[in-house]
Amino acid sequence: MIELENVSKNFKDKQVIKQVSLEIQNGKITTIVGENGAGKSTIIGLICGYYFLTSGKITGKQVSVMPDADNMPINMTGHNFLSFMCDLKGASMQQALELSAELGIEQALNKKIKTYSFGMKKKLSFIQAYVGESYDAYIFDEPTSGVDVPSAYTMMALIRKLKSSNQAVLLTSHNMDELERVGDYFYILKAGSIARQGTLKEVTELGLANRRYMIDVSVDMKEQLKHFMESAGIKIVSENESYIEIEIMNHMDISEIMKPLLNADITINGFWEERSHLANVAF
Amino acid sequence: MKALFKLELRQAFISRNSLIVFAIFIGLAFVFGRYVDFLSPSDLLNSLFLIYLFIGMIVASSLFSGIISNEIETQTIRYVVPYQSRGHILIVKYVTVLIYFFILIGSSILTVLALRRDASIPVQSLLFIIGAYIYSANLIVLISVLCKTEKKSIISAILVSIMLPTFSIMNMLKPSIIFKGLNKLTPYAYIDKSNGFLILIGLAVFMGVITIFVFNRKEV
Repeated sequence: MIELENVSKNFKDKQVIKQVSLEIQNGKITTIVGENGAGKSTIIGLICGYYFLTSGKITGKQVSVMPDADNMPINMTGHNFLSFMCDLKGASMQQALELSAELGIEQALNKKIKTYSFGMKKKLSFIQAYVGESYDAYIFDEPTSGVDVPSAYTMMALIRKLKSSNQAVLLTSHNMDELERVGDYFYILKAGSIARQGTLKEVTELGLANRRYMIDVSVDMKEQLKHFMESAGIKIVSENESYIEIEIMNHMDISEIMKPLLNADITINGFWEERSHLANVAF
Repeated sequence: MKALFKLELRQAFISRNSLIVFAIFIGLAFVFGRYVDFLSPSDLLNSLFLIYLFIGMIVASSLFSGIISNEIETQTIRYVVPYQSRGHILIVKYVTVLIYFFILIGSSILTVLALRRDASIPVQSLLFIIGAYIYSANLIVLISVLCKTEKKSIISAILVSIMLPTFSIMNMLKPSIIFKGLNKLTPYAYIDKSNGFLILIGLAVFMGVITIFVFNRKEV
């Protein structure tokens, strides 16, 4: 586990990180979300020891990190690089080779890194960060950007595996769907400060007084459904050819509406809670 | 630390430039050993060490002055810093430069001795050249830590390598307090001095302390 307490960082006179406190807990995938320049990479740099704190405290500093793939030693072969990193970290080269096969770069390992595509470099950097044990946290900074979709899924599955073995993981990505799928706890970073934090439900619901549901109904049943909702005092927020969107008070139970609706002989094709997405609250 | 050391040694020795430097040093030793008959083996090594001191610093500047600055500039150091203390990184880099120098000087001495079939080594000169190379290794690593880019560190180190003997020559030609003071900071001031080795080690330790101080505060 890694803990940051009231961490601030100035570059010359500019304060880029302002009183940030966060925890990267074991058995959880913690994510930092924010625009370019919000301070994500600086926070990672502070945890990894690239930068020094202006003020505040970081507890637990043994991290395994995936830095920017463009900073790899390009004159080494992929194999030599992994072998070096495994030696450095006391990790298993066998594991690194297995991961290379899983991510489809085993054939390229004998080539120099400078011949690799950006996606291949990302995979290599991911592998070196993934191998090894006994770290306070594993840090993956935008691991899947530029990576093919199947490999990105494999990477996310591997990250989930780390989580299930009770490791602490910090993940950043510009792919909000990906973060929503795997993230357990979210820090929304804006201009160097934590603007929101919590589980996905907590960060996306924050500020909304009511809940909204979409109901998918056949065209011929739509008027009947609208009538039902109006007579039940439910507000219809929007509608199109086959959907209506309703809003209910937060304290109401959706089953109080759905049970009588199903008994009213109105054929429902589907319904789901419409919620705000991470991208809506982060940017 | 072992992994980093292995990598640094491999990078130092297995490169085209490093092979060229070896060829120049051994070639010089061969020419001196074979064709300079009028000097005794001991005087021959004395003269050779002086040439090696000047060439060695320029060679070290071109081969090793990017040893830290290049890694900071390209940010490859970010793959190492989370797993290895900055002190260990410095020690590895410094020892690599020293080992390179010692193997270079050792193989040159062996070449001369083999050609002359004589085992007499001028101990004071040998200690001086060892001290001078320890001084040079520290100076090169210090310049590499101070400069932001590899290009700047190479240019700075080559300039310093040329300026050091220049201070010495100027001190001989136009003695003044300034040149005398500057000369005291160069290894050339301690040639033929019985305590030269110790003074050079002292200067090297001083530079080493500054290097550690700067590197431990440098953001990468």
